[in-house]
Amino acid sequence: MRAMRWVGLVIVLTSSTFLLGAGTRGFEGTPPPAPADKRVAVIVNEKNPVTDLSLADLRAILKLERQFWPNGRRVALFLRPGESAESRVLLDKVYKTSHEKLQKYWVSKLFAGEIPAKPSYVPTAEAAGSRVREGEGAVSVVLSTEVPKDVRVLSIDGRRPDHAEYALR
Amino acid sequence: MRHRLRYLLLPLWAGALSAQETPPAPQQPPPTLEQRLEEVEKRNRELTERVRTLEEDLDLNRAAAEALAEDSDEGPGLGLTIRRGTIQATVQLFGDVGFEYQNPQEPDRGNAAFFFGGVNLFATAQVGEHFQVLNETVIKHREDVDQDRLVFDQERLWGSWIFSDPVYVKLGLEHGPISRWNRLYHHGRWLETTIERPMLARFETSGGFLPMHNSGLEAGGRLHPSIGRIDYVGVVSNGRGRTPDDPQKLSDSNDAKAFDLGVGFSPACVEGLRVGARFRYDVIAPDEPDREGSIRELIGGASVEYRSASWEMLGEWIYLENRDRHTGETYEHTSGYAQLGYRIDSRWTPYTRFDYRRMDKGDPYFEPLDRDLDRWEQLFGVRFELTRNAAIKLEFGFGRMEEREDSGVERDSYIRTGLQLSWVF
Repeated sequence: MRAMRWVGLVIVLTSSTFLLGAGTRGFEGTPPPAPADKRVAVIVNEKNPVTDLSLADLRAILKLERQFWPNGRRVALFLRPGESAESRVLLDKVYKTSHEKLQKYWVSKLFAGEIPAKPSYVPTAEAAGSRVREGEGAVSVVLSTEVPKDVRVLSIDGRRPDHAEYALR
Repeated sequence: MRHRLRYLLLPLWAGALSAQETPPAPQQPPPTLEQRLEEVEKRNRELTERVRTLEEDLDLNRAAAEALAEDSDEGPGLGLTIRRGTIQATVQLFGDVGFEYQNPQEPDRGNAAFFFGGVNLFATAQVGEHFQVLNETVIKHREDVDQDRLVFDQERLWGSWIFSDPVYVKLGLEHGPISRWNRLYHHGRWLETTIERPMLARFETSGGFLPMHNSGLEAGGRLHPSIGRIDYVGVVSNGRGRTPDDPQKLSDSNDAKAFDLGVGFSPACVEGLRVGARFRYDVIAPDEPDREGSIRELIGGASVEYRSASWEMLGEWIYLENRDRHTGETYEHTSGYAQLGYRIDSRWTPYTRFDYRRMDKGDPYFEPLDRDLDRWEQLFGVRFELTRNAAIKLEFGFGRMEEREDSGVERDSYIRTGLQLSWVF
């Protein structure tokens, strides 16, 4: 019995090695490359007291692992469609996965009861601005060249979108 | 031909004559200031109306574009989401069917059979910013009720008040935290990479030996220090019934409550890694006349998981100790599994899993239902994403299991293969 268990363990390790060898080309599961020269600004409501986030904190918010702002308002996440430049930057720098796997991630979180609803999607930067202006806990992302009026742009790790070492580019 | 030419030239002659006979137009007087003002106001009204119409069209187009964006990006399933005021509700349905072959066969069954997995009716709603409710009802086959009858089974029903990230309180029926698998996948077979749950995560009515459901009060939360994320949970619940297949969802056979504690840590330095530990204490009521004493049950467990864009690794190990307070005997059981999957291109995920349980024989709680028998299994399979909402899984497994015969416990090898179609909509 014990010997058979060891045989099983060896089989697992062998198959793992085989599977490791399989990963030699581009995979759908990997995030698409971020478009060149595209910088993404994180925008929040002007009443939100937050002005700066670390990249780790931003990742927690955009993955809805952190769901409340310091002022107690619930995070309402508005994402851009999967093919948009903003989405591609986020998949590459924040989610580190493909759009399809991100969708499955939201279903898993919802089904586990960890989030009450999946994030909403907004088609344009102006629509993102509209949602952010309406909700105190709202957060969205837009290209840094398309920041709508009357919203606050967060700095990431102390850097504004025009900084040379800004994280979301 | 000549007549046609005449008719064609007729309008030209008429035009020339009328031009000669028309007197010069009289000189119009210039408009007064009032007339010009009136004309400007009229024009202003027309333009205002025109702008209003265009704005309405723009709003409609924007709404349509937003709906289109949501349609294309809501992800797997229909994602039926209803928003009204401060209430936002989501409904999803999971289902699975399949085919299984096993040799030697289970008692009173053939080697091969098509099976109905289940239909999962899932709904959750957010009411305001802090209150959440969730329901999961499953139509499924229950072996302990009848071989060929489907039943409605309420799997989860709870309401939760989320004060903030570090603190939530939940009341109702929920899957217990003693198994990580149990809290990850619940009854959503489409979410699981494999066809079957590992042995330590099988449900009470499907041959499992751990408590998978808790009816009680749960509190927990998350912290985000700079080193990573810490999540924790504590549960007070009815505990287990007099037999392992009774999860006591509706009532409690004794006043003693079960206590669960769980903690998980996801280090910031390794994205996708999570380690966890959990503990449970329960006192199980006697089951006279078969079992005269109560049983004190202690369970400890650990888990490790890692997920990246391509890799998926999950492993758990459980130690369970039952002490019969009537005889003073103690029984120790262990179980664990290690599962590995790798996503190749957009659709294929081959996977493998080693799964075992080692049980002390004669445990008065497990023995009557033959859940004190050892078993191990090595599994190979592949998952194919048929569409964004449906997956086909093909598995082959072999192993050894113990069976209780009249002559005692005997060991036998077995093989099994299965095919499952699972979906979400």
